[in-house]
Amino acid sequence: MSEESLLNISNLTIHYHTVEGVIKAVRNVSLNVSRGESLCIVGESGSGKSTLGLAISLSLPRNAVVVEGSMVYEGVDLFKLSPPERQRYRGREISMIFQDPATTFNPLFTIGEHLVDILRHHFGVSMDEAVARAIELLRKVQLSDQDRILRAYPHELSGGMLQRAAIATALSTNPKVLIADEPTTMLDVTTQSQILELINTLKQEFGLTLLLITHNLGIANEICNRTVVMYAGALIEEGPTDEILLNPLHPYTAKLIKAVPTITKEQGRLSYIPGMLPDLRNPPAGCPFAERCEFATRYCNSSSIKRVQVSPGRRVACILHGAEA
Amino acid sequence: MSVLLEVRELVKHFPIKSGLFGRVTGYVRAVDGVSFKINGNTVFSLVGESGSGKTTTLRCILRLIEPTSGEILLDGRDVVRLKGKEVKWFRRNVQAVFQNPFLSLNPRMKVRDLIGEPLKTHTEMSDDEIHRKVNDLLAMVGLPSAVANQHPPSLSGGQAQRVAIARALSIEPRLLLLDEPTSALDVSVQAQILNLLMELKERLKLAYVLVTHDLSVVRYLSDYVAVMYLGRIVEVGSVVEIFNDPKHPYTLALLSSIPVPDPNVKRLRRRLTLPGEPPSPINLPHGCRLSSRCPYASNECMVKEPDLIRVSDTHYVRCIKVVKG
Repeated sequence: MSEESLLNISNLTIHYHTVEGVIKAVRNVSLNVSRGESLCIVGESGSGKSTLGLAISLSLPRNAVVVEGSMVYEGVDLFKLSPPERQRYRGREISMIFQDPATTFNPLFTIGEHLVDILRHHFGVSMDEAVARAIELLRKVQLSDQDRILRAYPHELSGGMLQRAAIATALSTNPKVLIADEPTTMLDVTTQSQILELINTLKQEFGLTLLLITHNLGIANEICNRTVVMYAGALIEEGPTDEILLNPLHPYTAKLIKAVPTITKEQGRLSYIPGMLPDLRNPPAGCPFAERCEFATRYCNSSSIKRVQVSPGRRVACILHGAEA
Repeated sequence: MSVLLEVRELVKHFPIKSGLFGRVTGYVRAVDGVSFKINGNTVFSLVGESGSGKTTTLRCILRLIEPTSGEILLDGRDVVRLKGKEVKWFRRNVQAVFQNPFLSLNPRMKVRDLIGEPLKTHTEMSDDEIHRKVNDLLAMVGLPSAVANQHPPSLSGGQAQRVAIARALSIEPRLLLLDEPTSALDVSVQAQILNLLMELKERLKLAYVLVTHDLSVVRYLSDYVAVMYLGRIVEVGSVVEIFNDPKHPYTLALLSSIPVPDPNVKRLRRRLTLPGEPPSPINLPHGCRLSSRCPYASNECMVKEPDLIRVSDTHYVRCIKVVKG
C-alpha cells in the first residue's frame, strides 16, 4: 500500500499467568498500521482485542508476558525501549482511553489537577501556562464552563462529560496515535453518538492515527475505514470496513454479522454461532474457529492456518480462501 | 384479546434527604405519570436512556418498590394493594429475568435446585415430579440435563441466562418482565437468547414487558414500544410505527444515533444529534421535558408540557409539532 507505515506488529504472542493457568490471550498477531488511518479492532470477549491495545500502548499488566514477536514503531523496536523511553512513548506518541472513564481518573484529584500534572510533567511548563493549556483542551473536547470542570472531581461529572475529559487528558500530550478501547460502551446512545463524532473531529484536527477497539460492528462501520477481526487471540480477517461488512470472507465474521439484530429491518430468526470459545489455556493448534464452523474440514484442525492475501489490503486466515494449512 | 396488565398514571418520586435529621429537600421524579396497557401474548418494550424511568417502572410492576401514586392492574386487580395469599397469586402470574444472571442466581445452589425452587413454593408437586419438570425445563431452554448438577459460576453467561429463564418460566407465568436480558452477553450469545425468548413467547403464549436501552433488541422482539424520557412516555406505538415513522424528536434522535453495521445504510441515514445532556430529574424544565435540547423547540414548547396526541389507534406522541406538521 502507498500509505506510510507507522507501526508494524509481527508474530506477537502474549500470555497471562493466572492462578488457573497460562492464558494464551494473543497468538501470532501480525498487523501493519499506517499513519493517519482509522483502524478498528473488532472481536467479542476473549478475542484478545483489549490485550492487543494494551500491548501497543506498552501498558500490559504485570502478569502478562510477551512470549514472542516484535512491535516496531517508526523504526524503533518498542520492546527494547528503556523505562524512561517507554514513559515518553506512552504519552507523547501514544495515548489510550478506556471503556469506563471513571477509572481513568483518581477520584481524589480534580480534573484540573490531572491535566495540569500531565502537562507540567511532559512539557515542563509553568503553572499558569499549564492551566491555560488545560482550558484550551477542555474547549477542544467541547466541554463548556471549563473553569468549573477544572475544579470538579470525577464523581461530579456525568459519564459523557467524564469521557470527554478523559479524551482531553489523552490528547494533552499531543500524541500521534490514540487507542480507544470500547470508548462508548458505558454511555447512553445519544451520548455515544456525540462522543464518536467528537473522536472523529479530533482525529482530523490533531492528525491522529486512531485504533478503535470495539465489539460493535455498527461503530466500526461509522468510524473506521479499515477493520481487523479477532477471534480467540488470533487475527482472522483484515480489510476495508465496507468490504468486510458487505462481503465477509471468514465464516466467523460472516456469522457474527448475521447475529446482530438491526433497527433497519424486520428479521426472522437470528442466526447464531453454536458452541463456545475454545479454552485459551489450551487453544487448538489449527483454526481457533474450526470446532464451531460449519465448513470445517479435517485440514482446519491440523496445523496453524496462515493468513493469505486475497485482494489488495484484504487478508483472511481460512483455508476456504486459499490459506495454507 | 383482553388486557393483561394495565398501568395507570404511575408515579414514583424518590425523596432526597440531606443534613443530620434527613430533612427532605427535594424529589427525584423518576417516573412521572406513566400509563400503558398490555394484552396477553404480546411484547411491550420500554426504551430510553439512563434516568428515563424505565427500570423504576419495571420495579414498581414487580412490587419491588412501592409507587408514590397510580395503579398497576393485573387482570383488573390492583397489584399494589395485594396482601398475603394474593401476592402469591401475583408471583405465579408474573416473573422476571434480570440483566446479570450471575447476580440473580444464588452461586451456592445447584441449577436443579434453582429451577425447582419456585415449583416447591408455588405447587404441590412431589420431588419426583419436580425432578422431571426441571429436566423438561432445561430441555425447553436448550440446555443439556447434565447442567442440572452444576453451580452457576461454572456456567457461561449464555447458559446462566438460560437457567434464569427456565427458573422464571417454571411455574408457567403469563407475564415475564425482562430487564436488559441480553445486555451482559456477547453478540453471538445474545442472538441465541433472543431466538429462545421469541420461540418461548409463541409456544407458551407469554406476554413480555421488556426494558432495554438497545433499540435493535427492541425491534427484534417487540410488538409495541414506548419511548421514555425523564419519567414520561414521549411516544408509544407499534414497532413498525416507531421504527418506520417516528414522530417525536427524541425518538428520532435515539434511532439516528444507533450505529448500523451496514455500509449501504450509513450514507442514507438522516442524523439528528441532540446537544447537551438530559436535565436533572430533580429540576425538570418547564413545558416539554425535551425543550432544553430539542432543535425544533419554540417558545410554546417551553411553556406547557403537551399531552399524548393521537396519531393512529396505537400511535401516540407527546409533541405539539406533530399536529402543526
